[in-house]
Amino acid sequence: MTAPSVPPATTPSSSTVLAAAGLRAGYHDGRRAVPIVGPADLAVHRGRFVAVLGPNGAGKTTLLRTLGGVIPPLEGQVTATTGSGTRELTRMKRADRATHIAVVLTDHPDVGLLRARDIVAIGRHPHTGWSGRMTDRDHRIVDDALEAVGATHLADRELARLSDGQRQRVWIARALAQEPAVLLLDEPTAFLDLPGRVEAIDLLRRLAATRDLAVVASIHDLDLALRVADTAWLLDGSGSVEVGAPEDLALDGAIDRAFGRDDIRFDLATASFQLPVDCCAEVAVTGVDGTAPDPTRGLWTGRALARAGAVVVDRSSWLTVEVLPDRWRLRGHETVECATLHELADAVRAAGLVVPTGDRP
Amino acid sequence: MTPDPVTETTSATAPALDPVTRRVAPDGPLVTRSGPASSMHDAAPDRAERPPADGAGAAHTPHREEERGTSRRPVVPILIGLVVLTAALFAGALALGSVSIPVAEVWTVLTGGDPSTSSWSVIITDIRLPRAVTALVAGAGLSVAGLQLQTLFRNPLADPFVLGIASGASLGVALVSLAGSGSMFLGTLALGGSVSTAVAAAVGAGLVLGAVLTFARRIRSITSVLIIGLMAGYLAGSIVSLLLFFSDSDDFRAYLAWSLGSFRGVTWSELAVLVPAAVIGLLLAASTVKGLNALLLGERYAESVGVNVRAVRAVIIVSSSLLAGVITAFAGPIAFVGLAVPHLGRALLRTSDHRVLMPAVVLIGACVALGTEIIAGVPGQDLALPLNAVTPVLGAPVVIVVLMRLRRSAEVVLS
Repeated sequence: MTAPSVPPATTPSSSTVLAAAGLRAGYHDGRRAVPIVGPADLAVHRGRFVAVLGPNGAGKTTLLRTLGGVIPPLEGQVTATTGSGTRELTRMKRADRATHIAVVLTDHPDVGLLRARDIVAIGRHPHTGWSGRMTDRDHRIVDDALEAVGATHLADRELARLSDGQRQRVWIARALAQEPAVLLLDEPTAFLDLPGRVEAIDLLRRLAATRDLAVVASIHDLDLALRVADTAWLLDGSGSVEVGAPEDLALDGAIDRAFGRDDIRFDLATASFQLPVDCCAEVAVTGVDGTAPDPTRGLWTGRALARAGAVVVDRSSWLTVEVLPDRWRLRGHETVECATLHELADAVRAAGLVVPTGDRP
Repeated sequence: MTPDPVTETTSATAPALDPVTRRVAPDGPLVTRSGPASSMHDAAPDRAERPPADGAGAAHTPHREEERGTSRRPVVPILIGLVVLTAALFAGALALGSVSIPVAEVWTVLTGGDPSTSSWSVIITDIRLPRAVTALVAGAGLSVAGLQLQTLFRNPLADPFVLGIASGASLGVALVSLAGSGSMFLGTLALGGSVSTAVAAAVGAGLVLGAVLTFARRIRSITSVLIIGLMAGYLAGSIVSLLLFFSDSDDFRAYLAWSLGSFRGVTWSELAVLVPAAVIGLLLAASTVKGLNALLLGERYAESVGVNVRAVRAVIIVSSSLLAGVITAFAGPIAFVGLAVPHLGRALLRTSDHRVLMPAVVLIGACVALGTEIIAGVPGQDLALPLNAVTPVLGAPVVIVVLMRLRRSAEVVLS
């Protein structure tokens, strides 16, 4: 492996660096093996971003730990392909494994008085001798890892003084300092605010591309994951792992099957989960004089109507909302002009023909 | 991501490792030169005065050093200062006592010359030198053991005795000194005076530790190991209480004398056991420095960077037990030093990096023990106070003041 300062950006190979065959992952309860995930055949390629998706308790963390060699597989095997060949993970030397696979865990321990740079330097452990003394090259790689995550300016600050998002970058930099081929992350977006999540995911995607890293991350933000992942591993809780491009999994209904509940469905048209609508009055949404509405305004109008208890239908309906450039016109048995969607929602409720379960004005 | 520094709620397990604490002057934990204003901008001036951090320093340009060193504190000057202080206190421990001997005369005796008063030669070589060496070794060893166990258990309240070593040693000594009068077997063991006390303490500590380790080998959770150690301590303690309850006052006093701790009365032949054992313990401890740093991130992360956590854990337990066990056997269960010195070290050097902390803690521990011994000896008086009565009186206020001051300036910075 080359130093991370030389990103092989132009030729992202798709060689397999980590693979699982007939894998069953789980834990031991006393002597009894409790499988949670599998059997599954999985492969991780350089330069690719794999999102591990699934509801809580489906076994995302267990799967990641097994792939990282933290816990042994209950059945089957996990193999790592390094420059010197393919070996079973459980038979690799610890230091060899640590130079091939780096992990970022969900829980971030209290690290006392360590500064960001000290944390990242611990990522050099598999490369240093017994005393942990750092060479110039080690220092360079630490600097480079900090730079890669945009945390150079945080290097000399104590970790406890950083925000959650900054801390997450430092933990990722620590993993990069191991110079791994595979980066495993357990919910890297947990505890971050929404822009922070987007930023973190974007960082991981860029790292996968520019450093030719295989990135495997369990992500709860389905929408975000579906947009950035090259491959999704979908765990539905039954043990099976569906593998595919996120779009394929969405289109064949696998995502809805894994996540959907009786009244919450994954809506393909909007690529989001739909809340249950309390009352099913139908309303048509059009643009000026029956033309197609502006798509963006139409989308948000539909959401406001759904909240007010109306379902948008394609066919013409006796209740119609006309989306005008600056206002909305509700045509029922009387016509109401609304300046805001807030007014429109009230008007739909007030029409009296649509009776949501909520309070009426 | 928000640019503001976030005050993190310090976790319940690590209050004294408070990451937002600040500023202790390098020349002593009592003196703080902190001001809120300077604390806020401390990175730049401190970094400017940082010397090359370690042996590799010579190869680096100053700029590189500035970027990387292991601490914002000037590590090397602090360590040199501690070496000088240790040497001064060692000389003080030889010169001061019921009879004050001029340092020049101490030097004459040490270099084999004849002092102006002939009895001084005996006082120094047979009494004060063994005592000072014992204090030096005990302070350093207990502090290193405390540092290792605080990191291993991720608990700032851990001390060298959490694995039941002190209780085991107490049990051994109690059996010999209390039950001794009634039992032929134990009575013969007690005949040898202080040597048998040491043997009894070592046997007791070894037995309790062996029991704890037997359980520990079957247990993954390090917290459970800690709890088992504490439970073993309570069990041994209850037997000691029973023995005390049924003992007569002479035996009671003999046990009490040991349990209060003392660097006195350790002979050269005992030092021949104590010093090599402590050196082995310290070398083993030094070999765990890298693993200890990784353990700061927790066992899972340590494992993920290739550390054999079980092996490191075993070496830490063996070395800290060896240190605590052998020191307790000869000097009694010395409280406080092993708990407090690691905190003083962190505050003084403002880092959790064990490559810096380990040597610092050795020196601070030696200083604390030597200083305590000088004060407990009450210079000029024919009196020696029990160590365990002196260490907390001196040390507890120091630690409290350090922590309070650090916290206050940290709050100013963060608010």
